[in-house]
Amino acid sequence: MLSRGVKRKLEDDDEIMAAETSGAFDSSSLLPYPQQRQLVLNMCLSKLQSCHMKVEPSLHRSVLLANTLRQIQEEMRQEGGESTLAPIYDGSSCTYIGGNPPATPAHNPELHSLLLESPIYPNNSSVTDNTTSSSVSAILREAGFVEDVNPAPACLGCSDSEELCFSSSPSYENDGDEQPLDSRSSDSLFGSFEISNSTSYLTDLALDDIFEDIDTSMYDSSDFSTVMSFPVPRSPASSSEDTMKSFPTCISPSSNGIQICITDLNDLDHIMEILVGS
Amino acid sequence: MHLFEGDQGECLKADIISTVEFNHTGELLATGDKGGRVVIFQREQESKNQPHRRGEYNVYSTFQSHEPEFDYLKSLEIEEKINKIRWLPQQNAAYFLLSTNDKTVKLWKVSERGRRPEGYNLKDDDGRIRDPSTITMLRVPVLQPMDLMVEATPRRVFSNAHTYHINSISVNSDYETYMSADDLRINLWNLEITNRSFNIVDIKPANMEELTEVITAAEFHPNQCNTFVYSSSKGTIRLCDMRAAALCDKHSKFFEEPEDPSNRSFFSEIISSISDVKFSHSGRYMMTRDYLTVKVWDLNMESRPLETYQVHDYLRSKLCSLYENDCIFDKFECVWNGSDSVIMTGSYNNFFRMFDRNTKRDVTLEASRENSKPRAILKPRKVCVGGKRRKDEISVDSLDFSKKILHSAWHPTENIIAVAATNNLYIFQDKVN
Repeated sequence: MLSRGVKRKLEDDDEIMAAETSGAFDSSSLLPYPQQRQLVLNMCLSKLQSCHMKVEPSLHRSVLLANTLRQIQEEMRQEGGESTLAPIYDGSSCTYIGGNPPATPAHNPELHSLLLESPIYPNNSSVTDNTTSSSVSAILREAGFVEDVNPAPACLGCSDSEELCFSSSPSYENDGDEQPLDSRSSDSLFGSFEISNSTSYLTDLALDDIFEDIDTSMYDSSDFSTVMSFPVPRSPASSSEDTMKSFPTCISPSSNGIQICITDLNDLDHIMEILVGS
Repeated sequence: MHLFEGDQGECLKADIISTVEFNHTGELLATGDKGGRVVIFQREQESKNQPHRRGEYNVYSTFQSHEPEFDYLKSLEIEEKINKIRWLPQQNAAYFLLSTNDKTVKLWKVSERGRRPEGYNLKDDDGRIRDPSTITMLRVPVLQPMDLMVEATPRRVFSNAHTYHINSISVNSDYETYMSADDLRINLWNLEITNRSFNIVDIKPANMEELTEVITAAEFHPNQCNTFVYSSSKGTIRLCDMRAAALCDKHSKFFEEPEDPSNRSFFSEIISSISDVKFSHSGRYMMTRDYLTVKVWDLNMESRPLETYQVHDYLRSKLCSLYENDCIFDKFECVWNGSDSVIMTGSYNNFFRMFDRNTKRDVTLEASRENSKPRAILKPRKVCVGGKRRKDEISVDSLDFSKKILHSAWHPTENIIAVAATNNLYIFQDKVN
């Protein structure tokens, strides 16, 4: 992963490479344009993949990176793919192989077919026919902007194999196919930025299916006391989206209701009753 | 290109100043930092005994405005960093300011206490309850002078209205309302009401995959309470009139400069993203800051800016390195002086730049302890672009990109500026003989 501060005397391989490539780029624009473009493309991808998920990533930055990525991809697509190089991406780690500089087409003629077999597209389906937007979407989905059924606190993008990002996402199933832009708002590009307001996310899922494996027979529904702090919506049969929207109001530190509720299986049962209206 | 970190000794991340703002009279100067604290400086009264100490600023009040929070729904931290502070005009003896982090805006009251009541009947001056049997006569408590105490109390908390990160707040000239802007939405609040806000701009697309533009800054017009502007990551500014519709998605004016095709690069869009927008005091002009330039716009001309000033054009050939080390995403602010004749903005290496709009002269100054002694006149600096470097010049490759001046403020009437350099605040004044 490219680091923020690059002192040339640092010994780290990635940083030396980054320093050298950046120095090469800036001090001599003798690099052919396709190579410059490839360099920027690689940096775009690695930045989008950076897993600083402790604090919410900046939407502004992500949008700028995505736009740059789209622009480059569009350019590459328009050129017809002759000199396109797939980003050299090692699926087994979060970072790109910094030690392998973007090689010129002359040295690695087989690289231009990498776009087809790139591990970025796990189903190994042909993607050259895809629209630019869906290939950008695929990359960004991998970067962790997909919404999970169970929003995992762990970094979504930092998985050991890219498959992990997708296995828990129900929307991924037919990912290899070309997707129209408006398909499934649940796998939205910047979905991780917003969960509570995505109403279709919840109506798409059958809540019963999510929780059906939880055995609730042991728990008596009269144990209601711990759920008292949870703001019960006015009508028990209110739609799930209204209930989900009331969640944000619980998030302020002064109200400690929701997190206690969720973690306790007993309370989960009560919440489910309210949500499903049973 | 180097990012020298740690050369100056590690500074606490929490001490990094994230916003600077003078109040409307210039008597007070507020700073917010990454640790969620607000420090207010007050200008000393000028005294005849020490005429050379002409109104220096001393610490007046310090308080913790925001604490780190945790969003349980998304399992993400909410930073306590103060993004913006805006003062309310003074209406009584107390001072009011709005401070905001990524999610919550708070209204703080800062007031002085110089007297306290003494002589209660039922309790001692220390607060201990008196034994009733020892009370033989009644007395009326009297206000006695005490050491000046400045206390800050939160009067309003405006929360749960923003899904995305708040980047701007702006108080309306009606002094009743204010707006808060995040990446995709702008909300209008009444200062008295915390449980309701009106959404006046919403640029969120139905499908988030279609998102290509975000809001980067917003401000109310200084005189017209129905007018405001917001800037975008694509280098455009929209002026909206709240009288036209409840939801101001349709702009009244659209300001955009056509792109110069000769300057096109991979990073054109990123460097066109506007990081700050400020109306002039007169309300006739507005100024925008993008990565390499400051532009002054006439509100009556949407096609192109009136004036464009190059802040650090020598960085244009270094954009790839700046992209790599993330500096290209730095958000610089810009400020007007009181008479709208000079504009100021920050740069790297603790440099800041001033442009005189009338004489067209500009100057580069440095905010650093090593290179200037207190009360010495600042020496203009120069960056050498190529070729021979003269004695006092500094070459582009020697610039320290970890020392950036993102936030600064100009006194509303006098030539006093406050410049935030990482964790240090520098205050410069015009020298008077």
